[in-house]
Amino acid sequence: MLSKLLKYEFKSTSRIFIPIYAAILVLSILTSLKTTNPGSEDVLSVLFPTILALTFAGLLIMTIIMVVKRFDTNLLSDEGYLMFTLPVKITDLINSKLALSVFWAVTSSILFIVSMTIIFFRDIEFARMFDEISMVFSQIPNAGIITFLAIVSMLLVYINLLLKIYTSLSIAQAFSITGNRIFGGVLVFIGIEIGLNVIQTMIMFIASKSQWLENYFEKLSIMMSSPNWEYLYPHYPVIFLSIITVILLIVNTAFYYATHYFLKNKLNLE
Amino acid sequence: MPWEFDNSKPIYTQIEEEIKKKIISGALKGGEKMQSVRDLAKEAGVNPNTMQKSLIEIEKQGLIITERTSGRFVTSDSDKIQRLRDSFFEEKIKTLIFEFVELGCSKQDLYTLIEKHFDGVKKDDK
Amino acid sequence: MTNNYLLEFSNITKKYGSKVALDNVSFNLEPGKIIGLLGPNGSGKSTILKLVNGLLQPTEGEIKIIGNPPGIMSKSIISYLPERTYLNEWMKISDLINFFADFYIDFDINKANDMLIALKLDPNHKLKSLSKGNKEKVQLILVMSRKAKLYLLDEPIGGVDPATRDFILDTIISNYLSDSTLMISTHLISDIERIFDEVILINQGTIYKHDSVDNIRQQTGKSIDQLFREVFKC
Repeated sequence: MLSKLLKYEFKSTSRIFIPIYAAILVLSILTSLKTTNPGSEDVLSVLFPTILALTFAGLLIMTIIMVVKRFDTNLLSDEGYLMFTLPVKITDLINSKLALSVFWAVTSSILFIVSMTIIFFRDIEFARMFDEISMVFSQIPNAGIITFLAIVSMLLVYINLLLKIYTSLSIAQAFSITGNRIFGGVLVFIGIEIGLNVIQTMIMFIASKSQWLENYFEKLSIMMSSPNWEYLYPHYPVIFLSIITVILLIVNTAFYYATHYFLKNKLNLE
Repeated sequence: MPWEFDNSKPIYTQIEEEIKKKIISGALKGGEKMQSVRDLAKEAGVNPNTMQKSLIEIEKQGLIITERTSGRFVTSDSDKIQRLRDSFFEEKIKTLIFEFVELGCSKQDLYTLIEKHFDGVKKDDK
Repeated sequence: MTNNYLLEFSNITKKYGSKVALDNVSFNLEPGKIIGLLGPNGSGKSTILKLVNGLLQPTEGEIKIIGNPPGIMSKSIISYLPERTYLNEWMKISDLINFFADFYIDFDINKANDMLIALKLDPNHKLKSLSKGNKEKVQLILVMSRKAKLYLLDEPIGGVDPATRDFILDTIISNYLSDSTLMISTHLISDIERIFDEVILINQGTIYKHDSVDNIRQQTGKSIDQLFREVFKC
């Protein structure tokens, strides 16, 4: 059933993204062509990059709008009568939307790289670039793991945003906070952000009272001010990123369960 | 067009009467194969369960016969149909006579009324 | 202890804060019946249907569908027609048919297409482009093309013209499977009461009466519509 939901989610969302992607590719090519003749600057050689930049900005905004709209329209408005009576698990409903949102974010990122490559490919010395990258990689210890954890963390941060949006919308529809569901969702989102900040501040405050932690961070800052610390203490970046990853996983799981709880038990269609 | 029913009385008895009338009038001929329950129900605009119930009642009275493999048939026993027709008319006329007598109509008045209106009614076909 | 009730709705109370939508409501449905769920607007009919569907959770009480609480199993055997346009209006009729066929094993594509042809509806049209009456017909066709065990129809004949209404009643009768149960909620009773086996009369969250229509007609000498008007005249 999840695969079927993924299929329909893709169909519904690709309608928005494919045209934007096509426009970006075309504008990238046009921009690239315009930079072949230096000195022949005209309106277009400024126009194309500008429109391209605006289109990317639009893509970003569109992605967030799509995340909110898909969840709201498909699950919380009249279509909810269809989706929640399908013989599928609620986790499948949530997962299909999460998966597609992540898919489009990843694809957009790849598109950005492709776009930049198209524009600058004449200026990039690919061989030298790859050499430098491999050198950096081989010199910094644990570079592979660090890169992997960094990418995972970025994904988890994005998923965190998605789940916060989903939780906000799920809570807002449960309490009919305001006439407009999305406005209520925004309020809840802000509330969640404030709540998280409060918790964070409290943790920092408690941590600052701990002598043990104070000593530890003092030692850490001494260590990091010494040159070549990355080679002397190669495991610290990995530990640091792992901790971040774990915290994100825990927080994301909490938001996932919150979304699931409100959709399963507090669904309030119409 | 769905059949007309009085919703304040059980529908299945009204369906029974309607089907019997069709047998009497020859709209359903002796020995004729009847439509399926579903088709009859659709024509009458009623629940197939109700139609089934009526058909079973009529079957109990021997006016319909179910052949297991071929379906439901109107009885080909013309005597039975005649008896049905006779008892139908007798019931109706008795009810009518009772009502009229209650309102003070005499036998002669009734004959006169019949003489006067019978042919006219036949011409005003609904 | 087994019974063969299709639906057991036991001591259900549903509250929204302090507002009581259903107050200790109980009834059981057997397979193979057409049941009218009758009551004025706001009496709790839609709430009952949503609870059976799993769209709402009861505050108290238990719901069992073939012995199981509402869940994936029950959703796969329940075919629900809500009161509103609940389908994505940008989809073509053919897309919707494929959607239903995809998610419901018991969906009969041929039956759905036959009904569309009979109504002269073009499968390539988007739902958006249809008249209100035709949208309702499409939704009904999709719901009735499933070979479900329990059909829940919420006000299927409200707000449509008489010809559409006749089509809807016709479709319901033709597609009714003898061991399925249909529960139809409505407040427009006189047009539809002839197809009910049983009725549940509900007002302000409590059941006034649950009985076979013939019992009611014989005992009161009234049509269900007349009884309804008398009982619920305020």
